[in-house]
Amino acid sequence: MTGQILEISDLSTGYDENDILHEISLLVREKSFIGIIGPNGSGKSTFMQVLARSLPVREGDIMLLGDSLQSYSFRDFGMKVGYVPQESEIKFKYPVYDVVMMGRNPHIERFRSPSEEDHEAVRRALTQTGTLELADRPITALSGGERQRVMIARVLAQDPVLLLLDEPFAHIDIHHQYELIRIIRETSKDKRAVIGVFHDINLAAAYCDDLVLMHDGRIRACGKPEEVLTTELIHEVFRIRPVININPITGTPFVYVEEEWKEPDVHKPSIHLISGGGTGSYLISLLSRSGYSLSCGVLAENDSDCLMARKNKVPTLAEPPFSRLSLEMEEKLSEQVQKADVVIVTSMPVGWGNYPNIRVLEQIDPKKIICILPSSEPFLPDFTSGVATETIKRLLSAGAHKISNPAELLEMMQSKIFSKDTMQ
Amino acid sequence: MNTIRNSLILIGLFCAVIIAILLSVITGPVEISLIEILTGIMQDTTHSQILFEIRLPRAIAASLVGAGLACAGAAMQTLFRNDLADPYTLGTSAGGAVGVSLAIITGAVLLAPIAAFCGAIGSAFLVYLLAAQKRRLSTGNLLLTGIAVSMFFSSVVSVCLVFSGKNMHQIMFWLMGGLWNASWADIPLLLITLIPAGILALFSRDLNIMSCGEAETRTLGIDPEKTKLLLLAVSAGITGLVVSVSGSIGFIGLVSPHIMRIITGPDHRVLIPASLGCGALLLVCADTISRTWLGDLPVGIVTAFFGAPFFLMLIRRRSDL
Repeated sequence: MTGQILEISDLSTGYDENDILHEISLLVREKSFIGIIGPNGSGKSTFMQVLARSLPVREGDIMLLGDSLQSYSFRDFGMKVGYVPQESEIKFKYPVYDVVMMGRNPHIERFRSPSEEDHEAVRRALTQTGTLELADRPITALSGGERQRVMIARVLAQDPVLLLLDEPFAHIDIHHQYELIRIIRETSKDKRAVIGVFHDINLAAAYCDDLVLMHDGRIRACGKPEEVLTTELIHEVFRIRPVININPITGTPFVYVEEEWKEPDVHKPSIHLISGGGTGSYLISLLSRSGYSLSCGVLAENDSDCLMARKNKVPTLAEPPFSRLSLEMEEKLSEQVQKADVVIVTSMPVGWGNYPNIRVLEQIDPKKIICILPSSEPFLPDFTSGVATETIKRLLSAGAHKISNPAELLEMMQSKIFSKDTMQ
Repeated sequence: MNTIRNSLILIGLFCAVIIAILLSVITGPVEISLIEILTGIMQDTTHSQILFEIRLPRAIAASLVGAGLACAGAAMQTLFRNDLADPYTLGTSAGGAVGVSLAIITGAVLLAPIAAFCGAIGSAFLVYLLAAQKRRLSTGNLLLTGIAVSMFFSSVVSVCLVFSGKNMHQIMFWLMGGLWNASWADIPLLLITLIPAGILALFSRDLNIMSCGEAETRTLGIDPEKTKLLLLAVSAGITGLVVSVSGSIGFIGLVSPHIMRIITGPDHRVLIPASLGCGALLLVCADTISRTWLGDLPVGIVTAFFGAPFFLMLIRRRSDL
């Protein structure tokens, strides 16, 4: 089979009696860049150690270029596979140049000195990783990020067919991170393959061809980033409530993490949010995360607030874009605002199309309305020749609350005025 | 540039060893002046005998013993990834001494070097197996095991020698080390230790990579288990041969690589020969001091006097002990 670099079938192994990895099967073709993601303790690093032969295979097979991993002499193995460990343990003052030259070791005969070709490979790797000016410095004097770049230079100088990287970008600053990952990605295009463990899911999603999601020592999912990074899988494996969006630059999935998620709490007042044009996105995320039972609308179907509400599974009234609110929808809205304990209005753009959203507020008790508006006029981008602004002013003078910062909202919600007991 | 600097250091060390041997030859309880040597020592038979039959072989033996212990120490520190490892702290020397004592009490004195060789290798692997737990060698474990094995073997040596009717002074010789028995007959055996020392030097690149961490050795083309066992056997072998001549002398193997690492850096291509020179220099000096001013005290006492504070300093510098 051409183009196949690594074939792992039914691999199980561990450090002591208990297996840490269970029945792992994976096919790695040339020119592929595979990212391994998964929570701590899912077996990512152990997996890398087996591939680097630091840990023996207990069950199953690992075939490297058609031959069993065990059948390789270490010298031949070193010519085919390079490994960058999570943290380099070097505590002696080797000059950077010598450390990178160690990568050439499999290519140098025991009784020979490094050839001109070896020196050339080292210089090229130093240049690629931007560490050429560090060549004479002792490795112990470098920062964590510089050290990591040197370790990547070493693996590039080694020139292997399969590169194993165990969280290689952990300490590297963002500028070098992208530069190095691009170099490694280019390297993988040249009849090679790269397998990297990534802590940063989004970095992995942006640059890897395929992702392997590990969980409890097993491969939970494997495939293109958009196939692996689904809300269900991420929630199951990482125990977080993710919001998955599209990275606007790379077009790949982008995972946002909700730090704390509370299920809707019946003891908290229910809220209806009237917003639009992105003015409510943050509130939707904040309020649903904080355990308020929330509803939204009426929103245009393609409005970013609407997309955010859908992502957070918030019940939302929506109409096709740029259309007037139908009477039917207006009735639903009216019902909704009557029912809600609190109605929040943001500083959204108002035109004749969505003006009914504001007009409907005159039907309810103004005391349960909170307007999040700029501290002075204009309160909102008004495309109704001032009609909407007039309505807002009437509401405020009738006793609607006004705050100018969303941060004050939670405070206000927790205050006496809106606690559920006093309202009933 | 570094290559030139390192070559100069090595040449300098070699010259220093030669000078130390010469100085050692002309110092001692019996005054033999430099002029006397230059104007023809051959006329005075007692003085020429002291010089050529006692002092010169002893100084050369001291240099070779020191050299052997130091390069074995340098290799062991890397193999165990431990600053405090050396033939003495790990009980390898004591193992060699047990081999010699067994050869003496069974009357097979001619086999003493071979017995020492086997004893040292056996002891090194015993410590290695006892201290290794779940593939990890902790510093504390390794040293405590080394000390325990060393104490046990030392007691075996004492028992053997006491029951074979040796006096305290001879027992001290094997336990603390000394060179007062050294003669020209020992020199060929000691020269043999240069062969395994050469093997260690040939594995410099492997040692360099192993000193940089366990994880990547395999992907850099080295079989760490095999290399470790081979080089441990080589280092222990050197120790055994050396011990059969000098008894177990401490701290030379510990101190020399540390001093040279500061001067030449950690690269074993330089570190091994440099430690060899440093060990030779230190032991020639220590032996001369002991012989001239301390009434031929076992040289191990002199090396311990200077080496033990150094050892303490290394322990204090470590955080994981």
